Amino acid sequence: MSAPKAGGQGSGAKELETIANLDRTIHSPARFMILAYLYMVESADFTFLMRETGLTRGNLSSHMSTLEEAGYIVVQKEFVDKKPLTLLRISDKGRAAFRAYRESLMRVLGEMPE
Amino acid sequence: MTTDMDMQAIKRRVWAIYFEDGLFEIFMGFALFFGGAMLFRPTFVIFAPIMLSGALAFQKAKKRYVASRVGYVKPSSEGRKGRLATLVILVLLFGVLVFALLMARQKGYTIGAGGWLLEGIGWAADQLPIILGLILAGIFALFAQRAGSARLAGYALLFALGGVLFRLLKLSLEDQSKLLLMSCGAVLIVAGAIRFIWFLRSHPILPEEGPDERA
Repeated sequence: MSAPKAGGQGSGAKELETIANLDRTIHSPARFMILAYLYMVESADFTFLMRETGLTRGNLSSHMSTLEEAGYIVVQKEFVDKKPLTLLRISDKGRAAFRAYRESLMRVLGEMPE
Repeated sequence: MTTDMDMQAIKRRVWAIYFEDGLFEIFMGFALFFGGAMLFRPTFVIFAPIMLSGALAFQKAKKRYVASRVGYVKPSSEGRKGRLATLVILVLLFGVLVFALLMARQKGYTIGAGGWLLEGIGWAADQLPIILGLILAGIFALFAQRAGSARLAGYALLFALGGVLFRLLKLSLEDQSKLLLMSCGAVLIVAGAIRFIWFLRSHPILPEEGPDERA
């Protein structure tokens, strides 16, 4: 996402720019949850993520496609006893993006007054 | 939708789900049982390939019986890769430790000045069942801590106590060690099988994942 040019040149404008620069692919509760889970595991399947995130099948499917198109996750299909098993894992790009997103968010929130 | 995003809580939950079905106990149980039976025999060299085949069977069982019920998850250990390498190294280290201790004991350990290391190894060799019990206890305590599981912590305690108890048996050191590993393995197989049956009964198979599910 391209960052809007901040009009003001003060420190406040700089902080706003950080917020505006947050990765919008991750900046959705559902996609953040999916990435957070995949960040902590080696791989997980569709059913596991559906159960853990509380997302519906269609919803998870749609977010999964968005993350896959961004290159943040790798989706692998395999068959176990003729039944499909969709395995997901976070890619190196996704890992780096998630880390950067987390750091930006923490920086912004950390600077906020109580 | 869940909003609790405590990363450490996620990690703990993933490990808890991983150990929930009892398959890990069955796998470890067989590894210990056969490892114990092969201990101090030349056939011990085939233990590593057997473990690797067992690990593959374990993953297959996870996908076949667990994935259709609660989903499939593979937790990452310290790094994302190298879990297999870690397993092989641990098995080799275990083998080297056991044989080194046995050899040190057979050859004697008061070899000249500065033989403190051999003396130490010799002393350790005489406590082999206790050391094996403590190694097992350490492995299970680590998993118990990761998953926050009292069940796994119970195994850790049991194996540590087992090491001491088997050392007190009036048997040769080799037999004490073998029996300890085989008994720990048998306990794990039985407990894991009970757990697995409970898991299959309490978690029905979920509706199948359609091939055209993705938008």
